Formats: sequence, C-alpha cells, structure tokens
Amino acid sequence: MDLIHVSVVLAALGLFLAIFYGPWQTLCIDWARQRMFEARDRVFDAARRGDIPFDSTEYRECRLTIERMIRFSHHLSWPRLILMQLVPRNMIDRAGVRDVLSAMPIGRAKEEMERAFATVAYAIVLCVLGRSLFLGPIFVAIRGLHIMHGRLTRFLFSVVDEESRAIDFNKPAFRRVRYRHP
Amino acid sequence: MAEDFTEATLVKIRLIDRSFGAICLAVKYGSFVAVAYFFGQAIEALAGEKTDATISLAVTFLTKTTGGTAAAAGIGTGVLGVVYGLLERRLRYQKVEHLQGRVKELETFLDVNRSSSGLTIQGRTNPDDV
Repeated sequence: MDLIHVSVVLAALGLFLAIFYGPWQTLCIDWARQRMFEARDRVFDAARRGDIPFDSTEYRECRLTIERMIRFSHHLSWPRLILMQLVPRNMIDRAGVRDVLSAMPIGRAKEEMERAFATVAYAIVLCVLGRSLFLGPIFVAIRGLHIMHGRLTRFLFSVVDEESRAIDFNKPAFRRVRYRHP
Repeated sequence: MAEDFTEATLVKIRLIDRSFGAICLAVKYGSFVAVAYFFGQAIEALAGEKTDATISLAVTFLTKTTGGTAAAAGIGTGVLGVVYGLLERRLRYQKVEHLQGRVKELETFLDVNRSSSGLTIQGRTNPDDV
C-alpha cells in the first residue's frame, strides 16, 4: 500500500508540474498582455479625445514601448529583471520613454500615460512572479492580500457609512462639541 | 545605446543570462525527470511482485479505500479543471481572432500610422519571437 501511496503522490506532483510549466505559464503571459493592451487602449483613448496628437513623438514612443513589452513579455523572467537592474544605467537606452514622459507638459495626456506605464509595470512584475515556481506563492499571497484589502476596505466603508447614517448630529452632545470647536 | 557596450560586457551579460536560463531549464525538466524516475521505481517495485496483482491492488486502492478514492477524485477533478480551462482558452483565442480585425480597422481610421504589437491574430506569441 505504501508504494501505491507514493505512486499516487508522484502522479499528482507530475500533474501539478505539467500544469504549472504548461497552461499556467501561458495564462500568466496572457493575463499580463491583456493588462498591457488595456494600457495601450487608454493611451489611444487619450489621443482620440484630443489630449495628444496621434502623430506626436510622445504618443508614438509610448505606444511602441507598450507594444514591445506586449510582444516580448514571454521572455521576461525574474533573473532577467535582476540582470537588467544590475547593468549600469548608462549602458542601455532604458530611459527613453521616461525622458519622453518627463518632458511632457502636465496634463491629462501625461497622467494617462503615466497610469498606463504603471499598469504595464504592475502586469510585468506579477507575470514574472506568477511564472516562477519559487516566487509563485508570493504572487498568490499578493493577489490574495490585494483582493482581501479591497473587500475589507469596502466592508469597513459600508460599516462606517451605515454608522454615520445612524448618528443623529442634532443630539446635544454633538451640538456641544461643535460649539466648543467651531 | 547598444554601441556603448564593450565586447567583454556583452559577453558577460550573455553568459549570466544563459546561465540563469540553463538553471531554470534544469529545474523545469529536472523536476519532470525526477518525478518520472521515482514514479517508475514505485511502479517497478509494485509490478515486480505480479503485474495483475499490482493492477488489482491499485484499482482496489483507488476505489475501495477512503484515501484512494479521495486521491482519485482529486486528480480527476484537477484533470477536468485543466480540460475546462483549455477549452475556455481556445474559445478566448477564437473571440480575439473574431474581434481584432474590426478593432484594427476602426483604430486605423483614426490613427493612420497605427502600429501593432506583433502578436498573432489570436493574440498568441509570434512564432518568430520564440
């Protein structure tokens, strides 16, 4: 019976590895690409509203950068991200889009583009975490906390909202406090 | 500014990158090999006694014992979940392929120089980039 137990555990482990290194990898990449496509659409919408011309250098540079990220996101891994950080800044043209963004005048277009790049960065980091067998659990914990945080915040807000509705601000105690501290 | 790289730096970067890649590949395929090896050992040890008896023992374990049934149900549910996920994914790819032409056409109407992400029309990785 012990050998059968071991066989079942190993079969389950093999199945887990097959899922993790197969469909799960594709899922993480597709998820990140979807977030990045949404970011690209946000930049497109900013141009469509007239916040920035379609043929401006800023628009083209931002769009091309996001598209490069979408195209090559399957090559990104945490060792590569670390390696990119270790390479001296003057050795790669890493600040291209940052220069373009910082040179833009403050306005809706700049805000949209900064938000788009924040989304891209978030998607890449979570994708890299999710695809790693070692960092995967951290990814799950972050996503769990993120969801929990959202729900907890909404729950607390609803409680506070209900409490504040229940309070009668015409009670003498409130009037007194307001009188002392106008 | 790739031309600022010295030859030695490029070689170092490539070496480190390839080393990390090799380690990741070793972990990935090594774990498969290890699982397959130990699974084979376990089956071999069971089959060494008598194949028919082993199969009947395995069937008895998976159907008659509580732990075995739970394990079989768990693995079966997992496989079903994977199949469901793969079918959903195929449907999503079909949906992307169906919608992308219209989106492209409408966006090109506004942005004549519209650029593309370079993915396939289904939204998959370009085979040239693998």
